[in-house]
Amino acid sequence: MSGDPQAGQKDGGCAIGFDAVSKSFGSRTVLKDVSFSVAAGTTFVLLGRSGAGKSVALKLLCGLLRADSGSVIVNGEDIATLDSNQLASTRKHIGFVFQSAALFDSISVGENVAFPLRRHTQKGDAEIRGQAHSILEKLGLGEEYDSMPGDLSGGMRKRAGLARALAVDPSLLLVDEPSAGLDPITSAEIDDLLIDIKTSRHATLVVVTHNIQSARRIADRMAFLDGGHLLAEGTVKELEHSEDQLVQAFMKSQQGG
Amino acid sequence: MLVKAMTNAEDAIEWFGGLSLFAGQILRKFFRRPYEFTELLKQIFEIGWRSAPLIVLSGLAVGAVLSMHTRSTLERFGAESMIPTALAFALVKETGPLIAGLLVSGRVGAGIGAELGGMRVTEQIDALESLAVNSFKYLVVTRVIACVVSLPLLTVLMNLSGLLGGFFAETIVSGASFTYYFNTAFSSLSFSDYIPPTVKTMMFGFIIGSTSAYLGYNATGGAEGVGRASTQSVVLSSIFLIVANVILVKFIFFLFSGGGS
Repeated sequence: MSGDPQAGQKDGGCAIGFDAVSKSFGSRTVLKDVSFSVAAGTTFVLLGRSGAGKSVALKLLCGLLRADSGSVIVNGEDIATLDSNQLASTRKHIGFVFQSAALFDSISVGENVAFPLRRHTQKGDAEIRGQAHSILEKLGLGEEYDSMPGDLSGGMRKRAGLARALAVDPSLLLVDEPSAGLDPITSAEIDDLLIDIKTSRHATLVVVTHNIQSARRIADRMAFLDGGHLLAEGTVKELEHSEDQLVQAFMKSQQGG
Repeated sequence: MLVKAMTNAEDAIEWFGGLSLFAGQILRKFFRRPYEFTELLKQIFEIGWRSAPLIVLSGLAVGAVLSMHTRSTLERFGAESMIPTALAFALVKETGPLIAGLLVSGRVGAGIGAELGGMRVTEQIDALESLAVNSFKYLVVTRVIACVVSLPLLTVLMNLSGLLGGFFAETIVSGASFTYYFNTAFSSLSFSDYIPPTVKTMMFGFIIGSTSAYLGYNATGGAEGVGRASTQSVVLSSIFLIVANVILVKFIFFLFSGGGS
């Protein structure tokens, strides 16, 4: 297990990492002394069963939750030490794709994508609309600019959420369960998009999933979380040969399907 | 039994503590950047302008009914000429502000509770934060300010439509002219009769906005939680508003030496 994110930064440009992070909700411990580091420009996949603490880890990376102890490092800085202005500034470089897409349901799909551009750039309305339309077009949603989020299918909503996260060209993209509730073909399309984002934008991706097939396609490295503990971390092959029986069972469980 | 009662009391104290801190945070962030003018104007439109038809219709009905009751009472004393004055006093000093507050509490309180609750449980508030937007300023402070700004204006509208409703009811019975009716209605009203009760509705707006925003912003438990936030927003903001009204009326009497509401 590569533990120290600060050390990782010296080695190969660590974008983010956890250093002995713990998080509890009331008496329920969700993460316990979890450490990992992610090199810049790579895709890191957090695997695990439902309720393993994967989504909580993602929210900690974006500062949506605060760790009880340990350090959450983003771009070399401990996110807990940032004041609200610094945190907002850091978040401008982070894209977050929620499991439910979390599109703003009172505005159109196009305006969802335009929203961060209107907030964080000085561009004019026509330019912003053009840019939002172009992002939607790249993700196959060019016709849906004026549609309302409630009118989209699950896969389209996921892509729209991805489009909104990509609007400000983030250097770090956090993706929560990209294939949840999607058919295998749509799921593979989303995987292709994530691979394309990494290669074309040189972004760092942290993807949470319990879909091992999807993880194999997109991951440079992966980690397995269970009961708040990090059971294994490494490349796909390293996890396949993990001595932990649960990790092995998980890696084998969906190989065929 | 005693343990349960103590637990409930503890929960209630904790809840009120949370609401007080929330209201304090709203006041602290009231004047701090960013001001979110676009969202504020949108909310003034939603909360103020869109409540206007409800206020006007209710005002007309309340005014007409009050006028009929006033006539039946004053007739016994041969004081029918006092009807416009009595109606103006009743509406401006108490009925108008309170009914406007309760109507807005029903319409807007439920709306804010449900909207923010829905945004919370569908992670839209988290999405706002992830996009480097201060969700508290963007969603909560703007809605509370919109309530504070809209309530006095809606109260004025309520008073005017109430008087108009009263005029319609009165002119059918006695044939009173528009000019006579409104001249008589306003002739006895002074600054201290009109301004304090109208200004106090700003506090009603703050109570409605902050209570419903608190319940919605902290909603949990999916669709059921959203429904609960919406219902509680109406019930609690209405109760707080009625209780606050008693205190504010006493305060106005104290400040204006019995001349106010």
